[in-house]
Amino acid sequence: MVDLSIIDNQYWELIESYPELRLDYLGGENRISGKLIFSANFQYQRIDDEYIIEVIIPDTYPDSLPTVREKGNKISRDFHKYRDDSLCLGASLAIKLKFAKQPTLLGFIENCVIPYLYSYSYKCTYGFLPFGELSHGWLGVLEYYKDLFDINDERTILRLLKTLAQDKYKAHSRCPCGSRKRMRDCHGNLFKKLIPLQPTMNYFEDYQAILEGLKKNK
Amino acid sequence: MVRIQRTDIGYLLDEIAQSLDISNSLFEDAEKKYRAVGSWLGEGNSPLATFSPEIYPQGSFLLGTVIKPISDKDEYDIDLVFRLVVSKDQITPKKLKHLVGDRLKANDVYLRILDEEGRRCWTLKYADNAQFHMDILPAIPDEYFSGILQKQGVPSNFAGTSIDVTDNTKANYSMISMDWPRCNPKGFAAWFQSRMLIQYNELRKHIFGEAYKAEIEKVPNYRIKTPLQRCVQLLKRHRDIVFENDQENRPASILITTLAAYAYENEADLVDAMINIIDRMPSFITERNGVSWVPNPVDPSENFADRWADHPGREPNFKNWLRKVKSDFNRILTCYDSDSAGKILVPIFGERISRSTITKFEEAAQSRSFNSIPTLQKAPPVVNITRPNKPWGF
Repeated sequence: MVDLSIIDNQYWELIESYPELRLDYLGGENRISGKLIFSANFQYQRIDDEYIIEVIIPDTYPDSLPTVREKGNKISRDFHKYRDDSLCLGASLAIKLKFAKQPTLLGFIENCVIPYLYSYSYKCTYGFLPFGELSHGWLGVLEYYKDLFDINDERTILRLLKTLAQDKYKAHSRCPCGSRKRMRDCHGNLFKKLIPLQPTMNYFEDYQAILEGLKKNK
Repeated sequence: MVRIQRTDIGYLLDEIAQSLDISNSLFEDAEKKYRAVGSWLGEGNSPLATFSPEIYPQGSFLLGTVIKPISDKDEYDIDLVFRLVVSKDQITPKKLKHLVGDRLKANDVYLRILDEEGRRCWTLKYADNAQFHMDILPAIPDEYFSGILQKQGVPSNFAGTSIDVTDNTKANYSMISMDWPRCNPKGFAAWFQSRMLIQYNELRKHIFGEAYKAEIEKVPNYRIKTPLQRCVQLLKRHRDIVFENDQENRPASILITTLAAYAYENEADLVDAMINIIDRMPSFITERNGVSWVPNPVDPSENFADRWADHPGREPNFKNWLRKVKSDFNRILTCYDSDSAGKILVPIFGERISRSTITKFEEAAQSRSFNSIPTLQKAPPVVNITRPNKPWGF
């Protein structure tokens, strides 16, 4: 059972900057809803916009992350959303990484939700997405890992993922990316951040999904 | 002091444009007056009644782009066309002009307010509480030219309304002639309407519901103003302020209106429309054999910029004015709060209009905050997005 006082405290911090969001507790769920009015800047492009959103905070928060839906019918149905209509703010690992840097409701809204909404507003205004987008499904996950590790070769990505899935981090051994450097001088730091972030099972599932996907493509 | 966001800038500009509108009552009064003139000229015992007469407004009254003059003491000009169906081989221009003039003079009221005969028009100077001049342009249809225009590709609904008018400085003024000066104000208005049709219909639906039909000849429904019309109003006002002391060389309204309409692409947002119009307007000034051309969209052989050739100051003035519009508009986009907005808006649009618009904006913001859940008057912090996640989906 989530500690309600954590949510309350984080909520008070959130509404200092975003006062039009309300917190209520309905049917066993903590829910934040209302108008998110934001101003955001990305590479000197300033966008001010507002969206009506609903954020469901799960019982296992902050170990699992909130789901967000847009209630104002502003975002088109086929824009990055899950089947249950919740917004797909990024690859799930990406969101976890972002949230880990500022693990509060304010952090979630500012670092995960607002960039997504900014991206949509930007596209509506200028016709293209400012930070690009990932492909759907396993391919998007692969693209994300390529970005994350800064590696282009798929087999290397799979090797790295296998190491993550097996939780085999040894600072002095050679980095699985093939650079011949020791882990601690190569992708070691990244591994240290990634391993506690989600169960190794999740990395294994990503590994499987990418492997299957690549096989099908051949 | 209220913060100004980008969306508020559209609100401010729209309010300024609305303040430039002439009042509804003035509009209705003008309409009543011109229908009365049309009635006198063309109905009942009038000798002109047998010529299928029609009276209609042209110019900014027809286009919906009228703006108040800078000072209260200046007057409005309403341009009217009074068209009879007569053929050029049956009447000289002089005869047509005087048929209309004589009929006007046969009415004591009009006789009293009739101005000296103009080159092409008769002018009635109304001096009651509404200060306006009514220019009445006698005209006949030009079917021959309509045919030529259609062969040039001008659509028939724009070409079919061409008219021939009179000009008492021309050599053939008192002769039967096939060569009268021509124009096509209805065609131009139809073209102008076509440039903003999507927005016009959206707004019309929004305000009146599906059943409403607006006919272009009526002094137009002044309650519907598309972003194109608002932009034209704002540009004309900007021009009025910049050229307050140099009326002779100021950019002509027809040029501003035509270029803006060429540039407009049915943007729904006023700020977007302004940005795109200001950006694109210059590209529609073309060149033919070293001469600058702004073609009349419903008569491609007519150059709206033809006066530039005889008045050497006008072309550079126009281009410099366009540059000033661009830089002034960029400054408008930097408004960030209501206290400093005055410094930006007043030199561009004038003291009174800018101040009253800012006050209205502050009052609206106040009432918004009183009506909602008590919120902090603070604006949201500006989030700096760095290394953002890419959206992903199933």
